[in-house]
Amino acid sequence: MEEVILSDSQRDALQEVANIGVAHAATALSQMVNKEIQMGIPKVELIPFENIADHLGPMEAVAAVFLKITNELPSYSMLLISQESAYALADILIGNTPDTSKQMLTEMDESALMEVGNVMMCAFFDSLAELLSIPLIPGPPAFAFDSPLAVLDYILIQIGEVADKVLLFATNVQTEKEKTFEINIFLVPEPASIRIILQKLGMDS
Amino acid sequence: MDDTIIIGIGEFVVVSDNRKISTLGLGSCIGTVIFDSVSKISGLSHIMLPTIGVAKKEKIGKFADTAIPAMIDDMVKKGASPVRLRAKIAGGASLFMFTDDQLKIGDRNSEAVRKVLAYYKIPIIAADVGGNRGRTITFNPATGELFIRIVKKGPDESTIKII
Repeated sequence: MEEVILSDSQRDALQEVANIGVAHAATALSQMVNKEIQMGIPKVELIPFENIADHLGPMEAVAAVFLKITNELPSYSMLLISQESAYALADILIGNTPDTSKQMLTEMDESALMEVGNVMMCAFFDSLAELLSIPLIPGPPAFAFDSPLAVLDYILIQIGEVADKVLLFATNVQTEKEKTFEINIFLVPEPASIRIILQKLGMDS
Repeated sequence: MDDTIIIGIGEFVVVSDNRKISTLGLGSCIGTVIFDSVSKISGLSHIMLPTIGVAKKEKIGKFADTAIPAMIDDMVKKGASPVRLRAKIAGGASLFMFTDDQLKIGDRNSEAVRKVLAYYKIPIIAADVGGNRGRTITFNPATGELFIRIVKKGPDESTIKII
């Protein structure tokens, strides 16, 4: 078990990394939906597993896209789109007239959302790879529609043997006007990867 | 006033005052309820992995092979009768479908929980495991009922079940 402790300046550095990554993800989304997208200020926090529910916000159900980096920087990422946003976003992506009474995602909606998540996260990872000079190759995306805790437990389980806390890079992206997409991006590096990131940033001591 | 006790991932709790016990968003994790219907002493654990292996010892609540024995110990200390203990389990789903998923951690978790309960000769009288849906569960020690709620996916879907 590796105990990860972050100093304030290390946290700031990671926050800047998250900032850049999320900006790229938001740009990718903006190009796909042809709308201006705003992003929130990323939060970088070390959270004990048992408290993770407190950090997920009030979302009941989410469309979740999971991606894993296996090579030099083992990490897990999850993009969570709130239920209403997922319905609205799917309609835009597929080119349907927005249906406000929509009650479920079709298979086509799900694959469109998975593709958006994939493109956003790949943009995120590309910027991270450039910043850290480490090639990052994400595996294939996977999709689920469920409660945020139930989907995130998949990540906690992956790192559960080596960690008791997750380093969460979390943020919101949304459009400016009436239509809001509530999207949360989570990046959870394995403890060893957190050390590598800090080293590459020259923040390891 | 709802005084339900909610536990997080990797935790367990034992109650002897009929307070309801609950845990949210079980994906591949397993919620294990063990109860003694006479003394009403009841426990709930939310494990995430089958075995503790070489991990740090103080987080025993995360693993089936350490959380459940510790919970049973605690229940017996509080006055539960080992022979009257019964179990209900829920969770162990696989929310994400991967073509190369040799892992199936949900299945491995259910197997591990069943093994520990068999070792203690505690019968599993109800189970809702597997599938691809997350579950939020609440146990009522007064009635022995386990409420299971899933996220609504379609307009006509029933989202609550009691086992």
